[in-house]
Amino acid sequence: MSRAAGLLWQAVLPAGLIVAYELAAGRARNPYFPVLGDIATAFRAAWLGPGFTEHVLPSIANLTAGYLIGVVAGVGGGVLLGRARVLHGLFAPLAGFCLTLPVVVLLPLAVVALGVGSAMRIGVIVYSVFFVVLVNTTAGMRAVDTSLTDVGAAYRIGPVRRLFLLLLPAAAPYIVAAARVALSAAVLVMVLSEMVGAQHGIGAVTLLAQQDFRYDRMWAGMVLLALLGYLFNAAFAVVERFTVVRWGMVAGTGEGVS
Amino acid sequence: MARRTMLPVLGVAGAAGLWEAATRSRLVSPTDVPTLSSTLAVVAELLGSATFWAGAGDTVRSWALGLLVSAAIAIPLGYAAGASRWVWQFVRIPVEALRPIPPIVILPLALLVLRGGSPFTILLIMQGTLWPLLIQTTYGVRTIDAVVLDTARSYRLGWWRRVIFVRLPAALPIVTNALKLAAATAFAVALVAELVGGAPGLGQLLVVAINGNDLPRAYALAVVAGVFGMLLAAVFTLLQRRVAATR
Repeated sequence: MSRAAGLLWQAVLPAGLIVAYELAAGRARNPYFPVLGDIATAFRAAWLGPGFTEHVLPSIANLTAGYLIGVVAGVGGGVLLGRARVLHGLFAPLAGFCLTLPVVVLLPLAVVALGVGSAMRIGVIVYSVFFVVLVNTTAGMRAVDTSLTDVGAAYRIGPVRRLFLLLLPAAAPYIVAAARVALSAAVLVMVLSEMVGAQHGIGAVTLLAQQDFRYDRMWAGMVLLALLGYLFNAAFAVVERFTVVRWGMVAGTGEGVS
Repeated sequence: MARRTMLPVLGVAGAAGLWEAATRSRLVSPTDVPTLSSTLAVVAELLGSATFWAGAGDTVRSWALGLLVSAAIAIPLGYAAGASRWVWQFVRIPVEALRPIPPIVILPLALLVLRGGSPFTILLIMQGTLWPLLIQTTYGVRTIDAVVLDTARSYRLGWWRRVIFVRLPAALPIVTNALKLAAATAFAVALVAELVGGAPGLGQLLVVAINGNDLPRAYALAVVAGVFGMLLAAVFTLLQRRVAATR
């Protein structure tokens, strides 16, 4: 198909869905499903202006802090578990258990131990990121071709350079895939951590709006969270393209398939 | 290889000892974290109680239904999108826009419209699992070797036969892997729905334990949920091996 026709074809379903929603919402006057204009007004009122510094920024700050700590610690731990056989034997089963334990069941326990402040929120995000990255980095480290490490040994490459020039690049596909999965998990956990007993943050505002029957505000929250989920995913793809793909460590996953 | 079995046992025992020592010595206050021994005592008690098994049954039922509905929609649709460019182009933008939305985002609305309960949990599970399943199936169907397809065509296999005997088996490993990931996601989302949305199940039991300030019970439920998650993962790993073995 020609390019223009292809673009047009792709736009049919999304445009149709939006128009159908607007028409149905305008006709039904169901308070659960406000029209798009009302959602946009509520969006501006809730998130732009004072709401931005009070709710949006803390959420994003917690997410960034938790995600970065989790990834760095996970890669560090994965290098240790992947290269030291004794440590792997000792801790791999425990790490596997922690990986399958859904962080949501830890959330109430974390609230009891740490309260509902930033420490708890960052803590649960770190947990959700750390084990995904740890387990996958370990797998990546163990999958490094032995001929590669042998060549490194033959050239007498020191341990630090061996780690950064040989091992980490070889394990990069595993680490990058894990970091991508962990990012989605981190966004989910960020929202979740704000839905238990907190007053600040995007998740808290959205859930409170629902309980206060302010449905346009609730929709504004859902739209913002959907946007954030989408943007973080897109940002990851961009970072990926300009770092690991350019360095030739992994093939570009390219959003979707096409 | 005694070392192979010794080390994991040592690791688990070490972690357990650390937990018990930290809580016994009051390094960690018992009002924050209960001792391991009291937690394990409650685990034993839970395994004999009918409320626990009813809750576990609810969780597993929502998990299975959610996964089943997702797979029933995503696999045929993903199949069509993998086999035909037109179908893929048609659904591409909504799929890529809806996929990164965490299931928790639609929770407030779903709670409002469906008022908790089983359909609510299933809807949330679908948001978490349907899109990844769909995209993976599309990948799986598309990555089939062109030579294989051409061979099938030159043997004049009809469209239906090509679908059933050529494309489907080729996509199967990727689809089972996607199912395995989706099963883990579905379990976590089921617990979210129960914990935040109040749907019946293990998550709700956990909320009740926390609200009743019964920490050992809460920790016991968390441990059991972790074991459940591990069992589910093991079952799907087995399934995956089976599929790999038949090829």
